[in-house]
Amino acid sequence: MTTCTECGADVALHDDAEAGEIVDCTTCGAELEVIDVSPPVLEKAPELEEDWGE
Amino acid sequence: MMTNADATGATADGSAVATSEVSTAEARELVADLVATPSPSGEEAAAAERLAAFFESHDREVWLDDVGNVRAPADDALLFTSHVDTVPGDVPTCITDADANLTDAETVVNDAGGDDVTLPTDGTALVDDDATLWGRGSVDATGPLAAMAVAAVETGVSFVGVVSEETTSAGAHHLVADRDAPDVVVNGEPSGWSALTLGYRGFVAATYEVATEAAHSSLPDLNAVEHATAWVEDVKDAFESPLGPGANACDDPSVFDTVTVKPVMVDAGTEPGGNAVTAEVDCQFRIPPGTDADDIEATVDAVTQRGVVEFGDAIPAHIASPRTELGRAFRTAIRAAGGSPSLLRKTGTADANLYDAAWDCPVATYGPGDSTLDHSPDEHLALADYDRAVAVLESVASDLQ
Repeated sequence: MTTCTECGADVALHDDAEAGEIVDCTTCGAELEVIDVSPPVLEKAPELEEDWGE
Repeated sequence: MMTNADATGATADGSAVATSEVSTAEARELVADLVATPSPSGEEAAAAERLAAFFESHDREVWLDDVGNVRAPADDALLFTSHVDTVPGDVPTCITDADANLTDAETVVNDAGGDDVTLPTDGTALVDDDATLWGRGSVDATGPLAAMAVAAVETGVSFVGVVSEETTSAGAHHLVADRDAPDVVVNGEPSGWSALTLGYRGFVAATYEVATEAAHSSLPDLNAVEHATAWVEDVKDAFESPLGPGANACDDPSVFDTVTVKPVMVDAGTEPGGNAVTAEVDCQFRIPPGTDADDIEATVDAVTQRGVVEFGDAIPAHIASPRTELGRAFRTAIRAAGGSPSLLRKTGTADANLYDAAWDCPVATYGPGDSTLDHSPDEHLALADYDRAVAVLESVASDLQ
């Protein structure tokens, strides 16, 4: 169990969670990236940005 | 070099492909050599040979296919592919240090007219953390191409260098028709070493033609030139941008979700015989997800009061989820290399759109370089970013194998 970086609510990771995976906070809906699993560390997942060209 | 016009691109017996170490100096030598070898669309042969020689030197199967693509099949758990061609442009090739002084300038030359380009493998340019490579293609997309070639050799995954991306995408069209789908595709374009591109808008081109009888220019009747200019404005207004009717500037954050209308050629005037005024306009449309070429054609037809419009083949938009294994592998790899990953959707179109449309597999785009330098006269790539991109690609390949 860890906490949402956006609202502080508890976030439970499933047993086979992997670093880099994106999970949702069921309380505030924030998208969170799993930075580490042992111990669990979450960060707000990167948002999709707009860019030019190819 | 091996040639195999009938090859399918699949590993012949499914056996594991040997991996081979590539030093930082050799990896930098590859990208510097390729950038110094002119490869505008349709003239990629010399660069393709240099790329193929790199694979051969590491005991990898490689050949040039019917259209000139460099094919190096191996473990199809992942296909790295980028384009060999560049846009035209005489951008002198050199390597500079942190103070912008030339490094090894005597051996890194712009060889627009020559064949022999060599770099010393013991030169400081090939190990200096602050070195910058200048030259056409260093960003779009020879840097990504070379980084993928190195990572493919190091990890034993499949690789293709395609031709003519900057013009017709003939190499990518041939590839999807000639090869089975891999498990995952990473297309090589400059996202920056710490970013992953997940989407591109689609594309369709159209040609508008109109003619009127020749008349004295003092008469008020609209001639073909006026019909053509009015048609352009009507079409732009029909695809109302968030910046207002007719506005198509790309500095709005939601441009990706809109149709961009861009006239790229106008040919108009009185015919040589003097009896008619004609006008022709080539126009390009960028298509967001959720819109297809039929929608574009219907909207254009509705505002075309005079003249005819012919549409070319369309390329659909492409947008991938960030929640795939491929996305996860990139985020992990970028963080492991010291970066903070970002995700991009681009307002242009790339070969990734074609791979996404043809193959039922995850597709994303990645490569070192600042895409604002695409096609510019000061195109350059920090070689430390190139090194990091190689490390990220190797990590992603190892993760997905």
